Amino acid sequence: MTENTLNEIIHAPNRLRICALLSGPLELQFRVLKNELDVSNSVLSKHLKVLEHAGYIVIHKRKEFGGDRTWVSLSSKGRKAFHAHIDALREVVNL
Amino acid sequence: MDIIQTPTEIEGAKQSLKDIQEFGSRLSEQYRPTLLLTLFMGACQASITMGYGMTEHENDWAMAMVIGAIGSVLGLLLYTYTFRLLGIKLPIVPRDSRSLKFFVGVATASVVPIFAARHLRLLGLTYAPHACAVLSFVMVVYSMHRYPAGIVPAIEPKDD
Repeated sequence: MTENTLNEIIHAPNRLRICALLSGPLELQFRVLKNELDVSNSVLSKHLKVLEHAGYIVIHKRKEFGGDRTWVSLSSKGRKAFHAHIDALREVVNL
Repeated sequence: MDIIQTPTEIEGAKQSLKDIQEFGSRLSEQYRPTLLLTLFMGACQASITMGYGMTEHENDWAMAMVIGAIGSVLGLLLYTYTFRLLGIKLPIVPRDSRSLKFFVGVATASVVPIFAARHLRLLGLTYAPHACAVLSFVMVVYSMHRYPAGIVPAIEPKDD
């Protein structure tokens, strides 16, 4: 990626927030992302699909504590893209 | 096409950075362990430090060290399990340079007072284990409060 290029996939506000939330923990549950973003299931699913299709996140569905749980994590490709995007944003605002 | 080349407006970029900063630290702010667990973990670390500093052959301080170690492991398991129930799986190993610095810093700050307590006491500083135990307690409580899930945000709030 050249300097000053923004990643179109990550740059969408909700997807940027998803990446920011996922950048710290190993995995987050779908419901945590939904609560933090304050969006509907369908909207969140749509954004996650875009990120998953780009290879930026990994989605696992597991049976835990007597129910189905969806866990989402940032892939190494997604982590690199996210940090590159932050660098690009910093260049734009000359930080 | 994944990448766009057009420059974004400065205000938009600033807002994006603000969003990253806010959402990156949101989990740390909203999902803190209970005060009791934080104090318990701090007390366990202080107990290990004090115990190692004061141990003479098989006196009771050795027991304090063992109890502190067992308490730390149990506390850590409870800590991890609590976050998992909340829907957050904590990172075990650092995955970027910022996290690595944090992990190395915490590991160093945890180990140094333990050895310092003993060696300074042997050098004649009688109250060194007490001081190091207090230091360990403060360090654990502070790090659990500041970075409750061991999560280091991509952009620290103070950067704004």
